[in-house]
Parts: sequence; C-alpha cells; structure tokens
Amino acid sequence: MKIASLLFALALWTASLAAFAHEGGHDARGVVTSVSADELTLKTQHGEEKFAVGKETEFVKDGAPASAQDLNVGSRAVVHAKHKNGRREAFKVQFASPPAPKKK
Amino acid sequence: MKSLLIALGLLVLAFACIVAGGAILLVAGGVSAKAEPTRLEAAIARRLLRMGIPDEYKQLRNPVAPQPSAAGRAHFADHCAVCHATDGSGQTEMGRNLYPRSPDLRRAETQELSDGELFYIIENGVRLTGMPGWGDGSEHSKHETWQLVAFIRHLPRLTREEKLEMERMNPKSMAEWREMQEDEEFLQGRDQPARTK
Repeated sequence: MKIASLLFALALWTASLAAFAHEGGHDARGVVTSVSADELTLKTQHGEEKFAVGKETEFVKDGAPASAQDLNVGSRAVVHAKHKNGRREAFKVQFASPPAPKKK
Repeated sequence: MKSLLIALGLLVLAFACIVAGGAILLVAGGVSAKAEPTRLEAAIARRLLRMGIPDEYKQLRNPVAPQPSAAGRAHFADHCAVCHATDGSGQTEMGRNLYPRSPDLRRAETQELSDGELFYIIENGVRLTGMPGWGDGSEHSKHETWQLVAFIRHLPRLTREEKLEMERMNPKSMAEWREMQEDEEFLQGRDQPARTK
C-alpha cells in the first residue's frame, strides 16, 4: 500500500495543470514627492514614479524597522517593488534620516 | 482462497489504475514545475514524508537550548533563506518556483513536526523535492542542524529587527553587493539621486 501511494504521488507530481505567472521586479532611487497610506511617489531621473504601498510594505529607516509615517516629502528613498495587478507594488522602502545641518 | 484471489486482483487493478492515471497526467501536463500542486497531492506528499522518517528520529528532542542562537539565525540566513525566505515564508524566487513549493515553515504543517522529524529532514533532505540533505554525519553538522531546528521553532515569532539583521547575511552576488552599496551611498547623499533600473 505504501508503494502504491508513493507511485500515485509520483504520478501526480508530474502533472502540470496551471501556468505560474512570473513576477518582475523594479527598483528605484529618488526623492519622495508625496506619500500617503496607499501610494508613494518618487522623483527619479526618469520622472515621477508611483508605487502602491500597503500593510505588506516594509519601511526601513537607517537600517531599522520604521513606518510610512517616518517618511517625509523631500527624503531620499530606495524602493524595491514588484509588478503586480498591473501596477508597481512596493515591498520594501529604505530611507535615511535627513543629514544634520552643516555648522557655519 | 477465492476471496484472497479477488483481493489480489483488486490490488493489481488499483495499481494498474494508478500507473495509467499517472501516465495520462504525465502526457497531459508534461514535467513542468509551474503547475500548482493540488491539495490531494500535497496531503499525500505530507503523509508520505512523515511515513518515510524512521521512528527512532521522531522521538528525538532538541539537545541544544530551546531559544534560538545567533549562530542558528545566521546559518539559516546564509544557507536556507534562498529557498525558504528569511522569514520562513518560502516566498523567494526559488521557493515559489520549486515543485513542490517551499513550505511556509511558520505554519502548523511544519511546526507540528517533532524536533526529530525536522532534524531528519534537514540532515537527510527529501527526495523529489528541492530539499537537499545537508548533514555529513559529523557531530559538528548535527549540532548545527539542532540549532536550525531551534531557529525554525522561533520563526513564527521572528521580529522585524531579526529579519533585517538576517537580510544583511543573505548570500548575494557581486552585482547585488554593488547595488546595495550604491543604495546606501545614495541614501547618505553621496550620489546623485534618481537612478532607476
């Protein structure tokens, strides 16, 4: 019975019944021009690029966990996104603390 | 005697049906790994996996500290995360495209396995899956595997800080290292903004 189950599983393992959609990636570096609960816009060398953000998006400030509220317009950011559902969904947004003002 | 022959005949018939069914599925679907495994297939595979682990392993308890060590975390980040993902979700390019898919190690199907079963799988691998047998039989290898078992138990409670620390330890190509360096330089304002790839 064990052998029969194994053969059956082997047969099923070889079956191909559905296509798997490949997920493309997109990374961008730019300056934040707007940020909201569901969208982030960066000004990159190619112009303005919009990214969907949500609860799955991971925000990282100075290498530590952060949130969208920590991100300000004018900040430099690196966005790692996937093409999904006809749009770019950011899965990770990295940014740094604004540089300290220079002493006179 | 007659009933024995009937039982034997039914067994042979069932076996022939299984082989024929497998052949039909093979011809219809080819050997592509892109298909999503069916629930039935996954259930059978899980059952077979547990049946295939020797009983003496199933009873083993983890001899290392139940709390995950930094070494176990680093080992997982360096060796396992490429397929299982840093957080154990299996959501990586490799994990998503293996057949069967890399399991979500945080879920009950994995967490309900005994320490010894997890140890056996890591040491010996699983045939007809992407899981290699990592053990070399040495005490050092066994110790590292037990550290991994402790870390797998911790995965459902992995913190964001731990995940970020592990991501820095994930294997990277030269191009990925360079890109990470450029990202850092950009964020620190040491580069011109606005590069897109």
